[in-house]
Amino acid sequence: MRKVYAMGIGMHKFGRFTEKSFEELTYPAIEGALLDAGMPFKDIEVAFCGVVYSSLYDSRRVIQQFGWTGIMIHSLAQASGSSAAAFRLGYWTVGAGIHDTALIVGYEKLPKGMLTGTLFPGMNHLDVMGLDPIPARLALEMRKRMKEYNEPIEAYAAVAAQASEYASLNPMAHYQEKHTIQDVLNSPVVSEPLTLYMCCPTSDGAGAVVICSEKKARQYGKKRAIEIVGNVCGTPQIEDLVGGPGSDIGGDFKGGNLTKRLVRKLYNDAAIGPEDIDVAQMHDPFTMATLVDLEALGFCKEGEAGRFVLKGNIGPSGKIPTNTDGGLLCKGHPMGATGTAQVAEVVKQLRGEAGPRQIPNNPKVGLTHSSGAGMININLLKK
Amino acid sequence: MPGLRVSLEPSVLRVGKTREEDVLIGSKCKECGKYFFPQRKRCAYCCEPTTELVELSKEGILSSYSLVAKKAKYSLVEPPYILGEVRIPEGILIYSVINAKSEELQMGQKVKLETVEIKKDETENSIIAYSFSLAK
Repeated sequence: MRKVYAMGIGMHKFGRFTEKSFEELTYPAIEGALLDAGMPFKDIEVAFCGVVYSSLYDSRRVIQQFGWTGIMIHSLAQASGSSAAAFRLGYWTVGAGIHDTALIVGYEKLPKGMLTGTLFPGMNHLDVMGLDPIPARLALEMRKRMKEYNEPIEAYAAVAAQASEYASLNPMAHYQEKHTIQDVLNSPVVSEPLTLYMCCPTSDGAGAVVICSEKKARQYGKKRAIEIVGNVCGTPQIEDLVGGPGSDIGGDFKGGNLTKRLVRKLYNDAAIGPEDIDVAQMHDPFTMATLVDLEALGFCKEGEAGRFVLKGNIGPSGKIPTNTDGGLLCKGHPMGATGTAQVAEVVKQLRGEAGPRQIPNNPKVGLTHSSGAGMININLLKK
Repeated sequence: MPGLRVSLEPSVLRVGKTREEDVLIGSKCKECGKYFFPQRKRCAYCCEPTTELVELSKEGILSSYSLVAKKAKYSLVEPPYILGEVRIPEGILIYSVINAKSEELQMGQKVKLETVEIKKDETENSIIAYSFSLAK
C-alpha cells in the first residue's frame, strides 16, 4: 500500500431537512471537502458514495452536479456503515495505486420512527411478528452485560450525557441540548432498559472526504493532510449475532467479538496500540455499543467500560475522548453519511481545528469504528 | 366450517392440526453436526450443501429479554410486549416474542414453544406464528 492522505472534509449539518433534495444536501459537503483540500473537481479520479434510502440515480446526480468528467461513480448501501465502506474502497483504490485522488460522499434522508432491519413490508416474517425493532436486540445484550459485570444503568446514561455535551459544542449536530444522566434515565423507555436518549435519532445529512496519494498531497499542500495509516474490515461469525441470525441484523454488540478480532490485526500492522490513540469515533447507535466498543478496541479492560465512562474517561480530558462531535447519539445518524462524518471529526481534531470541542494536548492519532449491516470498518489516522 | 391453521412462515414453523403438533424447523449439518435456525441449504461452517431439515426442541432457556414499548412499522404485535432470546438444547438462539409480563421474567428461566394466531387471512384461516411462554 502507498501512503494515502485525507486532504479535505466537508459536511452538511445533520438534522431534519425534509424539503431538501439529495443534491442540496450533498452540495455544501462536497464543495466544502474540495475547498478544504484546495483541489478542483476536475482532479477527482473516482467517487465512492454511501447511501441506503435512495433511488436508482442519486449517487450519480450528487457527484455530477460538480461536472460530467466521466469518472467511475460507485454507490454502496451498507446500512450504518455505507460511507465507511465507501471510504475504505477509496483508501484501498488510492493505496493500491489505481488512482491518485478519490472523493468519498455519504448522504441520507431517513424516515422518522424506529429503524427496523427490513425496508419493505413482507420481506420476511420477522417484521410482522414484532421481531424487527433494532433497539430490542441491543437491549437484550445490555441486560446481560449489566448482570454479568454488575454495571449500573447510570453508566449507559453517562455515555449519552457526554455525547450531548460534545454535541452542544457542534453546530453540525442534530441535537444540541445538554442532557444530564438523570435526564437520560427519565426519558421514555424504548425497549427496556434502553431509554430514548440512549438511542440515536434518525437524521438527514451529508459528509464528504477527499483523499489522495502522497504525490497529490504534495501538489496541494501537505501541511494539513492527515495520513490514513490503516483500515481493517470484516463480517461477523454466525455466533456473534444477538438473538441468533434471524433477520441478520448484524451489529457487533455481543462482546464486540468481531471488533476484537479485526482491531488486533490493525494495531499490529500499523504498530499502533490503543495507548497511542488520542481520539476515537465509535459506532454508538445505542449507548451500550460504546461500552462494548471501548473494551473491544482495547481502551479499557473487559467488564470495566461502565466504570471507565463514569470516571469521565470519554470526556475531553479523559483517557480516550470518544465521539467528540456528539456521536450518532446526538450529532445524529443519517445512516449513509455517518462514516464520512466520523472521518471528518477525527481529521478536525488532529488538525486542531475542532473549535470549542477541540480536545487538549495536541492529539496525533485518531481512530474511527463503524458498523453497518454487520460489517465493521476501523480506520487509523495520524498527522 | 372452521378455518385452517396455516403457518405464517412454513420455512421456520411447521403447523399441525393442533397446537401441540406445531414445531420449529431448523437445519443440521450432516458433516459437522451444527444446528441452524432459520434453516440453511449450506452449512455456515463447512460451506457445503450438507444440511438436512430437523425439528427443533420445544423447550429452552431465556437468555435475555426486553420489554418493547415502541411499535415497529410493520409489526402485528402491539407494544408493550416482550422480546426474548431463547437458547435451545441444540445450542442455538431463537429470537422470539415471550408471552409473559416483564415482572415475571428472569434470565435463565425455562421457556417453551407456544404458537399463537397472529391474524386471520381473507378466508378466515388462522395464521400461526411462533412465540415462547414460561414453562411451568
